[in-house]
Amino acid sequence: MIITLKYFGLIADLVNTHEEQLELSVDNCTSQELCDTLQSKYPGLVNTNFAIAVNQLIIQSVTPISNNDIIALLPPFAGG
Amino acid sequence: MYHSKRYQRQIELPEIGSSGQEKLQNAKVLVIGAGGLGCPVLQVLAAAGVGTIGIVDGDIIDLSNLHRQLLYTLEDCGRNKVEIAAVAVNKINPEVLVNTYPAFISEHNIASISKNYDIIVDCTDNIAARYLINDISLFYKMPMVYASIHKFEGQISVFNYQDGPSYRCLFQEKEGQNIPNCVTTGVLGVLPNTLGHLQATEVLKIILGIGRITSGKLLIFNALNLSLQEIVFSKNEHQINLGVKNGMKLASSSNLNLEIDKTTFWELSNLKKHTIIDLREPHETPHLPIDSLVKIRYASIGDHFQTFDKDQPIIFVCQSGVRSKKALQLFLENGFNNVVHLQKGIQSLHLDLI
Repeated sequence: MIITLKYFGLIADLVNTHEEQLELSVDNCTSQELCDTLQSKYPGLVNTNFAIAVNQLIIQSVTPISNNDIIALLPPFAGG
Repeated sequence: MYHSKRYQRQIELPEIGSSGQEKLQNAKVLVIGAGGLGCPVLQVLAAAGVGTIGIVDGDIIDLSNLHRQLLYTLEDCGRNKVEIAAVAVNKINPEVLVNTYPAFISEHNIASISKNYDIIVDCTDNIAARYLINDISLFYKMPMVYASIHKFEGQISVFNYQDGPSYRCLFQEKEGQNIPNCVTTGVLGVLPNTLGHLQATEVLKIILGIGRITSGKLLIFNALNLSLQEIVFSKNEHQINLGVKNGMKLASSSNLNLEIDKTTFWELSNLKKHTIIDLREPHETPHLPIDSLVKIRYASIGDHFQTFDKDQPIIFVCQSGVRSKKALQLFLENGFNNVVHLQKGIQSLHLDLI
């Protein structure tokens, strides 16, 4: 399946892009499995706090991810 | 007053009218942080005729602030932000009542500073303060208008609005977070002004009861593509409970731990580490037999914020504990973090009157 990842703030700095498409060898997975995949791809994410949105909706617990989903990784910003 | 020519152009809007202007006049808004976000928020709220505005900030103006904090000028560098912001606000609109709190927000002062306001605007620059603001706003049931920035991006949302979701429902608290701010990452000067204007828009809409409030939604502004993305989030009861509990702690402990009884008073006074300030009038008796006693009348205690260090241990005493409690609040609101007062006053010590 192919998913679109959107990165914001500090996380965009960490992964060096604001958006990318990711092709996974499975047909579906969970948000937790996706996080593990991303954390091994970008080790800097391990100690970073962020909320996850699946198709513009913040998830509160482990959620299924499927083909064409848009996943956003949102860290809190501190500046003011 | 609210029919004055000053507000004519907004009173003309049917959504506002003179009743709306009256709502603005009666509103009490607390702006925490008088920096990049706080400056535009203060300008807009003052110009619109918000009746009472509180400004909280313990910082002084630095040359590196001037590219984005447009209330301040070169000659203000080195001065207290709240002091200068208050003058600037009253220059824009002398009808606004401005309360200043030259202190950084903390668990000790947030409850006493915020309890008399209707809306809190979060213009701070660190995550810890945002959780404090969220929790007290949740406990006092007043909306929190949030914005924060990172380089060319900004986030805005309204939390705890009409029982809506909280900051904690969006970002759960994690130990040892270190999120960079403008000092460490840099910021485009116009960005906090854009976000601050959006915050001020939400504040005015909440007061006027018009439009749709950004509750349960996080808007993410990107200055480089001039885009605004919307993310939806819902209430997480567990996180709400966490916040309410902490808010309650902030509201109650902020005074409880700072009130000492006569036993603790004598123990502390024997240790001789505290400055003990007697707030009574010269004619009041009995005399307090303490060598290093400092006598400052309650009426003039407000002139003494520069006399003591902000972390100096201080005990306020008066006859019955009323004036000492007020002095304590005043000092907390001015950034002192090591003050207590004798709860039932000198009369509870049962000193000999002779």
